[in-house]
This record gives sequence, C-alpha cells and structure tokens, in this order.
Amino acid sequence: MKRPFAQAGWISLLAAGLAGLVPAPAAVALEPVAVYESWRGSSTLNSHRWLVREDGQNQEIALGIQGHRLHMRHRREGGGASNAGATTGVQALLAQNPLSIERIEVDLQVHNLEVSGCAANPGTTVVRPARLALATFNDGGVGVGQIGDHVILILVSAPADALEAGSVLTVEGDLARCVTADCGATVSIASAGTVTVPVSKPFTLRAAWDRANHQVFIGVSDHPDVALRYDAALDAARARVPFAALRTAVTTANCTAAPTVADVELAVREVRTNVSAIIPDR
Amino acid sequence: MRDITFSLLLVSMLVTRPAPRPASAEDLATYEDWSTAATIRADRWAASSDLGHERRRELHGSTLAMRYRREGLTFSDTGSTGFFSNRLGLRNPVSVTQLEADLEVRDLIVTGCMANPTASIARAAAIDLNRMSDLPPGTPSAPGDLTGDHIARIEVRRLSDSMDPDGVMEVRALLFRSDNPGGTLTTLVAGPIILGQVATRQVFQLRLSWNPESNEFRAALNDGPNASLAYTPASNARPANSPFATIRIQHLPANCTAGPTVGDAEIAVHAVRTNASAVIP
Repeated sequence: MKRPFAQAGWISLLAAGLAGLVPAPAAVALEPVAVYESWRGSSTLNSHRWLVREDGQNQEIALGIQGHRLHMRHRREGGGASNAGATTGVQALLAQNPLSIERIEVDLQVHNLEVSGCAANPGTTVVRPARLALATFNDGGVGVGQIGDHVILILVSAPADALEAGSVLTVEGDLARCVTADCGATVSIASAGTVTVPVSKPFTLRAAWDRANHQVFIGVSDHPDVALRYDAALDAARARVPFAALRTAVTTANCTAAPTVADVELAVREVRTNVSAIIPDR
Repeated sequence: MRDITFSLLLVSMLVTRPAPRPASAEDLATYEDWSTAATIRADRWAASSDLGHERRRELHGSTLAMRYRREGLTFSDTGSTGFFSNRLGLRNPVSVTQLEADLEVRDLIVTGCMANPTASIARAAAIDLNRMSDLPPGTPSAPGDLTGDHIARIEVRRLSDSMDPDGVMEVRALLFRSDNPGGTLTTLVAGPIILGQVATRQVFQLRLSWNPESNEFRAALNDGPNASLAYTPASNARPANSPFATIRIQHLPANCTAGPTVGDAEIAVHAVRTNASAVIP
C-alpha cells in the first residue's frame, strides 16, 4: 500500500519508537545548501568532485555532460540459460569529498525507461533509475568492511517487468544498516515510507544528516522532509566507508524465451550540498 | 624523438616477418557487424569499465561508439595513477584463436605533467587475447586470478610526450605474463614490436591470432606482415585461468599536483571477425 511520505514516516517512526527511536523534534539548524555541481563550468567531469564506477556486466552504458546536465544511460539484457535468477548492473556517480557532505540534494529526470520481463521468471526485471545514498555513522559492531555503517538510502524504482501508460516511479527512503562487508545487503533501521512521482517529470531527492541531534532527514520534491531519529549510542564513529553517491541500477531476470531488458537514461541536473562541502571550479 | 620512432620502425621491420598460415588455421568469419540488433547483443558481448569519468558503449547504425575518459590523481608528481579500461569482451573467449577488428579512433586527448617525468599513456584502442597460462596443471587458482596468464595484445597508443604530429598513434604488439591476480604486475614475454602508425579518423584493422602449434601469437596491422610474438612451450602449460578476448580503451594518466592529467579516447568499432567456429549466430 502506498502512503504519503510524511504520513508513512510518522507511522514508521511510531513503530520504530518501540525499538528505541523517537519522533524528531522541530526543525533544527543545519548548514545551508548551495550548488555543488551545475555541469556548467566544464564540458567534462571535474575529477576533484566526481568519480564514476560501473559494476556488473552491462551492455550499453553512457555517462557524459550534455547541455548542462549529466546524462547517465545504462542498459543490460538478461541471460538465456534458465528461468531462474537475475543479474544486476550498476553505474554510480561518487562525490569525492564524502566526509564533508552532511546534506545533499539532486534534481533528476528520467529521460528514457524500458523494462521487458519474463513470464516464466516474473517480478525481478527492474529498473531503479536513481538511488541517492549518504553514509553516516558506524555502530561499532563486530565485523569487517562496511558492517555496522548506517546509510541514508533514497531509492527510486520503476514497476517490475513492464511499464504501462500510467506507470509511476516509487520512492522509498530509509536509514539502513549495512550487514555485509560491501554493504550489498542492508536492514532498515527506520523508514520514511514511500511516495510516487510521474515517470517523465523532474523530481528532487534530499538527504541530510543532523549528527548533533541524532537524526536524518529524507525528502522528495515538494513533499515535506521526514525526520528519522536514531539512538545516540549507535553513533560510535563515522562510517568506515564514507560515501555520497547517486546511482542507476538495472536488474534483468534470466529467461529462456527471450532476453529480458532493462534500460534507463537519467538526467542529473543540479546537485546541492552543505556549503562547506562545495569544491570550487578549477 | 622522430629518429627513435624511425629506429623502432626499422627494428620492427627486422623482427616482423610474413608468417605462413598454418594448415590447421580456420577461416575468419564475421563475429559482429552490428547489423542483427539495435543494441549490443548480450549473447555475444560482456562489457565493463573501471573507475574513471566519462564513458560510453552505444550502438549507432553499424558501428559501436566507445568512449572512456579518465583523469589522473593530484597527490604527487611521480608515477601514474594506474591503468583503467572500458572493455568489450567476447562471450566465448576459449573458442577464439583469431581476432580481427576494424577500428577508428575518432578523438584522442592525452595530457602529461611538467613536473612528472612519467608520461601519460592513452591506449586509444587495443585488442587482447588471453588463452594460456604457465602455471603447472593442477595448481589451484581462484576464479578471476590472472597470475600466470599470458596476454597477447595489439595496442594503438599515444604518450603525452609524443613528438608525432597531432592525432598520430603508434601501433605495437606485445605478449606479457601477469605476475599477480589483478594483472598489475607483469613480465614482458615478447615484443613490443612496432607494427606501424595510424591517425585519428582513419579506419584500420588489427589482427591477432594464437598459433599454439608454433608457440607464438601473430599480430598484424592492416595488410602488413604478421609479427611473431614467440614464447617457450613452458608458457603454455595449461589454459588461461581467466581467459578473455577483448576490445578496449585503456588509460594510464600520470599523477600531477598542478592539476589532473587526462586520457580521453573516442573510438568506433566497426566489424569484428574471429575464427569461424567462435562465431555466435
């Protein structure tokens, strides 16, 4: 069931309160945001600000600046040997100064989206046009790598297997704990719930970490930000692997009848961060 | 620098020789001409790229456009940042004994660093064949471990300190052994042999074949003679642990505190041919 973002956030907060989380206080003073990247200062990526990573085996991929926007395209086909399992490919844009970033906002628009699933292996061919992630703290738990890191995750998903005329994108926001060394698996500590946005309309994702008050904020477009509080004792140290990243991900099911397809083109417009994280033009 | 180039060409002419076609050699056939699908076929190709900046692999008409751009690090003025690729791999490398690609470098930028004697290297295009290893049969190797694998390569490259005219690249062939799992440490086994030069906006053909019966790889540019990349039989102790047949762009940007160096190449991949038995219908 889809619930308005703020409403769902409050419901999850009430539930989370039973586990030690409490509703957020009134608005607190966070460092203001300003433009980190507008894609206007150069026709190529500024390596002081960005690094790009591709994971998984994809076919088409494209990432480059066109018309003051960064275009990220990403397509993969599924395997044809069976009707079981699926494979994911990822393209990620990593900010180069994650330790300085406490707030990040990105203006996005999906320019193209294609999903073609498999009747014999349903539900797993999915495009996730965007995921904004900001690592925050580590809870000191035993483990290696990112285990115990807590990450603000705002995930934008398209419907699985096929798109229809009225399809919308679903946006989910969580404070999540990494449970594997590479953070490939997470558990939600607190959820801001879900909202939907039209596929073809621009939208904005916002993540903020208010460390002093033991809370994070998650926002989408004009929906009010949702505060998710956490137990102060969880914040034992900064995240072991600090990162602030925007990524696209496509997952294609294996299918013997015909290759499944997941294809997305995302335009990244302006990126804003807290002022102290901004890296000047070169 | 030009004298050195000519000397290298002269040396390469002395070591290149027309290699007789072995009686067992298969005919070449078209593996890919980009005409059977509007997008890259997953049954024929597996692609990936390394940490970097702009990148592209997209079909446009009957060519595949590839781009890869990587800036270097700025923490020092020594050495290079590493080597980084955008690669297109054939799905069935263990079937590939011959690989021929029609390629075109459409644009190339490679910049160096005044304070760093290490030049940046842009391998605008390269074809690789990794088919054999010198590790004794039965030696355990983890999946993906390149240790002992031997990679034959033809690379089209330009260094940031090149004195050649703008847009001119050197084509050379070499065979090297990977000395560690990631292939970051290598030993040169044969070559490099200079095959010639190409220029941007010029379609050229690279051809690489493996001839285990004569203990060599053969490499050629366009209609030029085959150059032999010979190895001792001990190099072919068993199949490669991590076999691949790839077309790639690769950059080795120099470190530079004054500002990042850049490697940026855009290429067009036209037809790709392999031995007929490796073709995927």
